Amino acid sequence: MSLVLNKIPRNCFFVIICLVVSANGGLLAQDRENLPGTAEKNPKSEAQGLAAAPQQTPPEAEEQPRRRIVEGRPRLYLFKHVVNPLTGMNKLVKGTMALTERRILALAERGREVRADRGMQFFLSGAGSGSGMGSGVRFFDKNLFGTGIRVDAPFLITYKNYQLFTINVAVPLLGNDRLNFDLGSTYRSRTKDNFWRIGNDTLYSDRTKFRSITREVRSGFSSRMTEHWHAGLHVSYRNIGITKPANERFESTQDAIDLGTLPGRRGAELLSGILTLENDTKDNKYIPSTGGLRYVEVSLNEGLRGGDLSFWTYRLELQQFVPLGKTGRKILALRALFETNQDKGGSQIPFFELTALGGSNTVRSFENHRYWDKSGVAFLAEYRYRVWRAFDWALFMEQAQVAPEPGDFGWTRFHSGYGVRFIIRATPTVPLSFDFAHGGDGWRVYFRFKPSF
Amino acid sequence: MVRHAVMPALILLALLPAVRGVEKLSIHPLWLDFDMENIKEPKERKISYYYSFFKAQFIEQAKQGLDMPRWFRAAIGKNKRASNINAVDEVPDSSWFTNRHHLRRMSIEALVRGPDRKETPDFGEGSVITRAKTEGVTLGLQIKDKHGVTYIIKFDDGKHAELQSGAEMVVTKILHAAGYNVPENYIAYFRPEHLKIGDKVMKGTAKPRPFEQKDLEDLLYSVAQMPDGSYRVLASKFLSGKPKGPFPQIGIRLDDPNDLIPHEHRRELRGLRVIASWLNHWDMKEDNALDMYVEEDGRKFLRHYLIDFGSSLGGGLSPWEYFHGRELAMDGANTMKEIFSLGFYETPDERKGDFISPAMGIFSNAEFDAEGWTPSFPVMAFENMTDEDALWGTRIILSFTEPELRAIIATAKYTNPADAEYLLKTLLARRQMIARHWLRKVNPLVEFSTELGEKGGVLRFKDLMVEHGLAGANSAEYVYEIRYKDRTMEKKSTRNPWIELSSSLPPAQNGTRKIEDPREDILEVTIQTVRAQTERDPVTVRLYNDRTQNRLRVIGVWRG
Repeated sequence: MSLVLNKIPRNCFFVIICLVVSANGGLLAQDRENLPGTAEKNPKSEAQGLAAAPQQTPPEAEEQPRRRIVEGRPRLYLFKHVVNPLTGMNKLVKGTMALTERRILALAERGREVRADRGMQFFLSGAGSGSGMGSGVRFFDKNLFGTGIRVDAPFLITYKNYQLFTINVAVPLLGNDRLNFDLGSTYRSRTKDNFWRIGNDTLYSDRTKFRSITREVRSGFSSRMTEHWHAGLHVSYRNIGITKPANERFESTQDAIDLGTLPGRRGAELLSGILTLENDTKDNKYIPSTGGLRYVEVSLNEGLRGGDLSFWTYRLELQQFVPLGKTGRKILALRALFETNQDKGGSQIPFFELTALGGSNTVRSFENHRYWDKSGVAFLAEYRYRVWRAFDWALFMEQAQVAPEPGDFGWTRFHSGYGVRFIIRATPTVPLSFDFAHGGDGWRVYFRFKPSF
Repeated sequence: MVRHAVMPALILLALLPAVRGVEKLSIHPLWLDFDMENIKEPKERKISYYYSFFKAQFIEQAKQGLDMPRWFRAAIGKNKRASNINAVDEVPDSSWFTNRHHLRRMSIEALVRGPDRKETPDFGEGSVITRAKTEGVTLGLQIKDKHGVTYIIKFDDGKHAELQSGAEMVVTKILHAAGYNVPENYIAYFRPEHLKIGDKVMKGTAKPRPFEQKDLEDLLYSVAQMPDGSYRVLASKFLSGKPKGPFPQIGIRLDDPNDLIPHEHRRELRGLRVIASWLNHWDMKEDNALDMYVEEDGRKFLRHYLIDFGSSLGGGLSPWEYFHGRELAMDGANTMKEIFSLGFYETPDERKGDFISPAMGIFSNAEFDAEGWTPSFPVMAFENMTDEDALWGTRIILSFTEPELRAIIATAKYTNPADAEYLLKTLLARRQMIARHWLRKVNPLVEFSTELGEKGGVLRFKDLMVEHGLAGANSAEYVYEIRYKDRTMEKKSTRNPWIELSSSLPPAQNGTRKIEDPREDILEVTIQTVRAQTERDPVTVRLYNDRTQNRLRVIGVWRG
């Protein structure tokens, strides 16, 4: 026996003794106090000495003995508190939140300043499909030198090193945005865009990547004709360079594709005239519950460098939001996309200007830019419903295909996908969206601020 | 091998509280839990809104999820008993709670006065703005009145005049009478032209600048104004002592040596759920409480206050929001129901209430659910509430008579008498619904008292169901059993609210008798209430036959 006892560490005895003592000591103090003949008498009770003794009239506090109802804290309270892993997490969360909350409040205060006429604003956003999230800074002046001229210059770099630097100037010619003269310039670097050759049935294993750098200058007129109708006529000069993707494990598009068959393989200079017409009746720009969007774009593009490049582009987008019920909490959201590029007089269309379907802005269940061709069509249906004041949930289905010409579209050529979506209404107008989509190539996950659909 | 046995032994010992013995009874129930010993000044406990929300919503819920004894108790349908109840099933006075109206009847004047110790503030000419809060959800000022007393000023929203100020006033008085520590709140009026802006008043926190007259005008632009141009406000007097932050809703404040009982197991916090449901006091987040380091009788200790009741009754910044009191602000269960029903499950968030008036909002007794009432933020003490805790809370709200409630409501100074009348009727109706629900779940016998005469003893009690018109006078049969020494008498029954003990008791003696074994003088009566073929858990009343004093005293009440 003594041999066995000797094997037990001394501190174990100590712990056990402490536990046993605390187990006895944790009982209510009243358990041991005040039994008849042993306890201190309650002076008030003794003084009452009434024949009829109501139970529930307590004596006044100052007339009562100073005792506790328990003798100590619950058994092992501190020990349990300290060893509980959630206590550590609690401390961590507390510290983080203290820092974050101060930051949020400071940003909120700064946000109010943003509502002022000029200033600087930090923001989080993406730089287009597949770019990943990034942080940026925006310089703005809504009334430059008191002339009414608006200047907006966002600069954004994402964690994938996609870069987007833009400066836009809007000179009002007629009040209330009836007519503006626009001037703008953009530098856009996309480090690794997908390319799968051209066609509706390209193999997933044929993926290649390329980098594009675009420098653009544009000017023109935009008009807010009515509350819902907008139009624009712009001229744009673009210098697009195509190179190999940096640090990319996939094969370079330039290495993999027969250079002779790929127009615009080393980039191009394009001069474009763009006409747009938009009818926007959505009740909220990002999370509408009713209304819709009709958008038409026609552009003529002429190549200045990079080969015989000349083509027309026609784009059509329709969105409709159908509320189901009176509360506006259940919505059927429908979207149709159509695009076709038509070469002009036997000229060519640079490959990076072809219709590319797939990704967060077009068809979520496809890999980013999964299918390329001159024309493409996509249909999306989404059932959105509110699951909490700030959360929406959605189920969606998608069908899309690309083809050389619109006449080549066929009912059996569609690629299908489906998914679920979780939307957080971070503010009444700014949603964050998590999309989990499944298509022919597997699952895709997206996280977006202010999704366009 | 022994070493291997140490860990299981430790675990078993840790689980011991789950099977800990029941409280023994004493002949002198403890009516003061003296947690007011002198302590070292604790640090201020700072807690942010988001942190308190996250903690209550996720961390503490997870902690409770890991509490095995709690699962065990849940499996057998018995929550842990509150830890601070005395032998007669009451809450002793402490730095948290003082037994007031339900045990020590207060006059109407005392109820109306509530916690107030001062005259109504006078914000006439000479009053000075000492601080301004122009950001955040609620706007406010601090004003030093003509008598030099500083008050926190809260406004009513311009579209809902008298809503929040009225609610805060009524609830302050009721919670005070119920026994809680609350601030002195007053309905007051001021004219902006009478106010002077103090030299050190700043606007903004990131880039502070002096608060100016224009800022005051901006602030007052969106708040309610009286027809005569004055502003009706809720003026809350600073609590005495040093603020030390809110008390944690769960666990113990470790820097307070007086704090021995985990707060989620304090009956006054558990039973507050019933009172809060009556008053629709849904905004029970942690920072709506405050510990004050006070000095009383030469001792310095923490006194625990409830504060901010502007979101009670129909109040709140968004008084049209129907979900308050009906689901959590972030209700995971309802969210999942929505997800899996494809949005066809209708949560309270989707519904709308009838708007009564600007001063009442949508406060009503329609669709009120006493059991299902939910604060907007999780409160562990509420989740731990037992039926006995609920009975305690129900007894408190039933202790107010209609005239008393009318007098309390009058302190809110509603301009339209119809609002006051509506509030009274709604509170009475909600109270009946609460009583009907909770009293049916327990044995509703309370207020046990005894008589001991020459013929023997009589145990009297009140049946709350009968007292409050929820059951007929003779609707129940009280089946009782008397135990004395080792003998258990034959079960008997009565329809009267008293039990004759004559034949069970030993003869009374003069005060000269020396007590040999005091347990010989203890008698237990177990009463089962049978009403409409349903039996409630019995209540056992322990009586002490004090032959030295020729008295029969109730020394214990045990339910269940």
